[in-house]
Formats: sequence, C-alpha cells, structure tokens
Amino acid sequence: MIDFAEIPSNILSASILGGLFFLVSLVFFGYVIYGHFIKYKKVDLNYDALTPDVAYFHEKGKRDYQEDSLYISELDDYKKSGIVACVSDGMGGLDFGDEVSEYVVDCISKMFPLSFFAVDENATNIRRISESISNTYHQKAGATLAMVNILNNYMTFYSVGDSNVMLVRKGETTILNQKQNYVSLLIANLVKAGKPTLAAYGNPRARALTDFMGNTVSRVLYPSKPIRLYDGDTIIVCSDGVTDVVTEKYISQHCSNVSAANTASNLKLMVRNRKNPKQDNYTAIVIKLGRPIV
Amino acid sequence: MIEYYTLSHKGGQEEYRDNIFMDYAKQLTMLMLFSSKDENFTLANGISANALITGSASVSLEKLIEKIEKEIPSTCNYLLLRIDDKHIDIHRRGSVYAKIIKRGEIITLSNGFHSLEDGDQICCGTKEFFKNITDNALLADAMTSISSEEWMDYLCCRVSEATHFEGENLSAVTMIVRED
Repeated sequence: MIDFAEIPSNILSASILGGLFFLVSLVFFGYVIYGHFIKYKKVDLNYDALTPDVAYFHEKGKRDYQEDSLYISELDDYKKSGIVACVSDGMGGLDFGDEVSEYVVDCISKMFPLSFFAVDENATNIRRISESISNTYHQKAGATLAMVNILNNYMTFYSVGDSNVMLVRKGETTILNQKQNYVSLLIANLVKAGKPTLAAYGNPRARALTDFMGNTVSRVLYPSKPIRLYDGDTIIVCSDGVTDVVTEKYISQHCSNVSAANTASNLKLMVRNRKNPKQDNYTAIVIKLGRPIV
Repeated sequence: MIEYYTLSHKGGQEEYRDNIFMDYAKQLTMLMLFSSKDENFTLANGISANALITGSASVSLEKLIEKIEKEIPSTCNYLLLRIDDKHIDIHRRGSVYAKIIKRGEIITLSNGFHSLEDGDQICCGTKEFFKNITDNALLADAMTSISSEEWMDYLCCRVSEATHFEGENLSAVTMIVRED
C-alpha cells in the first residue's frame, strides 16, 4: 500500500500536474483527429463541380443538304452521369453522308451514360460503330466524329476525322484534337526532309481524310488521362464548316464571358458574315463551364 | 527506358545553327544549345561541346556543367539534362525549356533533380519552338499520341499552321518514360 502522506508534496503535485497535462493533451489530440475525419467525411465530390451552360447551332450553309448531325446528352443527372456532346460531319463527295452522321450520333446517344474513366473501352465501342458503318456501306460513305465527355471538373474527348474539339481558356483558343487528314502526313514528311511545309497545303488531296467513321479500322484519338477543367473554360465541339472560315484568334476574341448562348450566337454570326459562296454545313456545340451563383 | 524523338529543322534560314548532342548509356545525357541566336557561338564551340557530351556517362552533371560553361560563350542559352526511367536531372540557362506532362498536368521543369514514373512525357525545346505551341496544345498532343515520334509530328503540324517552317531554326526533343 502507498501512503500518500509519505510522498513529498512537491512530487505529488508534479505527478498530478503531469497527469492533468497528459489528459488535456489526449483530449486535444482526439479533437484534432475527430475534426480531421469529420471534415473529410463531409467532402462531397460534386460540391465544387463546375456547371455546364450549353448552346448550339446547326446550319446548312450554302449546301443543299444538312450532312452534319449532333447530340447533346440530357443534363438531368449531370452530377452523376456528366455530359456527352458530339458532332458528326457526313463526308462530302461520298453518298449517304447525312445517313451516316445521323447513325453515328444515334449510336453515341445509346452509349450514354459512358463510363468516364474507361476511355479504352469507349474508344473500342466507337471503333465498332465505324466497323458497322464499313460493313453496311463498304467505305462508300463515312462521317467524322468529335465528341466530349465532361464529368465534374474533367473532360475526355474522342475524335475521328477532321471535326474539332476546342478549348477556350483565358482568352486563348486551342484545338485539342489533331486532324486525321492527308495534309498532316505531308507536313510530317516535309519536316522530316527538312523542308518548309507550305507546299503541303496546296496539294489537291490535302483535305482528304486518312481516317473516318466508316473506315475498316479507324484510329480513335483520345487522351490517355482526363483533362482538368477550370471555372470559365469554354469547350466548343464543331464541324470543319466553322473552323474553315473562322480562325482560333477570332474565336478567342468573340468567346463570351456571359453565356454559352452568347458565344454560340457570336460564332454563328461570324461564319454567316464571311458570306462564303461555298459555305459548308456548320454546326457547333458550345459548353461554358462555371460555378453557379447561389 | 527513354523513348525519344528529335527535331532539328533549319526553318527558313540558310543553315541549322542550333545544336543537339546526345550520349545514350545507362542514362541519356542531352545538351541542347540555342546557338542559332548567339552571334558569339562558333563551330569550334559546337565541336568542343559535342566532345564533352560524347561518352560523358561517368562524369557528374555538376562537372559537366562546369566544363560546358567553359567551352561555350556565356551568352549562349542551353539546356543540359540527364535522364533515366526514374529521375531527370536538369540544368538550363536562358530560353531553352523542358516541360513535363505528369498525370494529366503540364509543368515547366525547374533546374534540379526530379523523380519520374512510367508514362511521364517530357518535351524540351527552344523558345522559337514553343512560340507557337500553347501548353494546352502540348498537353493534348502528348496525351493523344502513342509514341514520341507521333507526338512530335502533332507538334510540327501546329508549328506548320503558324509558320510553315519558314521562320527561325527549330530544335526540340520529345521523350516518353517507359518502364522496362
């Protein structure tokens, strides 16, 4: 038995103080740990998600037929399923351009909602669509595909042919996908030979597609990892009827900070005001990402 | 393993006056000299620099920097790096840059030692090369390409859209880290 009366009072008070200090530390440490976990528990992955504002235009230009088609997924379940938007441009010079582009966007609509991170699988499915077109039309018809899939603050894109996926960020427009056309091959060859590349653009076959939906084995271009999006970014998915007459610089200047509808309207007017007598079909989907004002 | 592809194009100039020297041993050592923009740079400087890089695997990067700085004019911008599939050690002076694409983000590499992992992509180039390529374009092209050559082809298409390769000398190297 310990007789506390025999312990010197200074040692006793030091022990009591030490014990109290230990208890206080324990409570404080527990509070910090608890607070930390509560904080992480409360984080909602969608809490900080950017909200899409979407607008589009779909015009015939000076052509007799509309061979562009587009699809925008429903936004009802945006936080869970994201948004898919695509433009398909029926290949001029081949038959059934309108039919094929419609078929492409119809198939994409059936794929919705896509598994966002399963990019390889999605690309394979797109390739299968191309194969089925090839089996039906035997390469006598084809279309392009430019498609974006946005979920929360990330984007992936898929592209076959020469339609465009553009990112407008901080006043700078970048076409994200490379065009799969003959001029790209000519440029690569000329550069490897150490020559200037102007001649490539003058080649009569320069704009011919080297890959398209309807080709036997199509190469689908897609980023291996999702691309981060930021507040104020605008994504434009469009057919070459837009980019043939409007430069990236012009798009940067006329991209509105107000709304997607405003940007789409500016873009449409820009194309129309060019008054190109051979204006191709022109279609664009504008997606402006921002945080809603609560 | 480092997969790489080199671009050295004279542009619209009479001759190619930049220099890229490489030594591929266990690690890849590369020196990129932005010599086309340096009037003090002579052919002899280039020959000396090349001799320093060839067989330089056993020389530390610090020693190599010291030697290179003695051999080239102080006005000449350059980038020296040593890379394997785990690390990159980089030293640059002036308008020659290295940008890394790591986990979907692009960063300009600062001087020093950086860790690498499988799939990281690095693009080194002179200011003239990067002039017409935005970071967003560099990132998108890196992530859609399947080889360093294809990545360079994509970047060349962008340069071509802007200048038709009729401007200054263009020097660049694209690299992809591949785990053996």
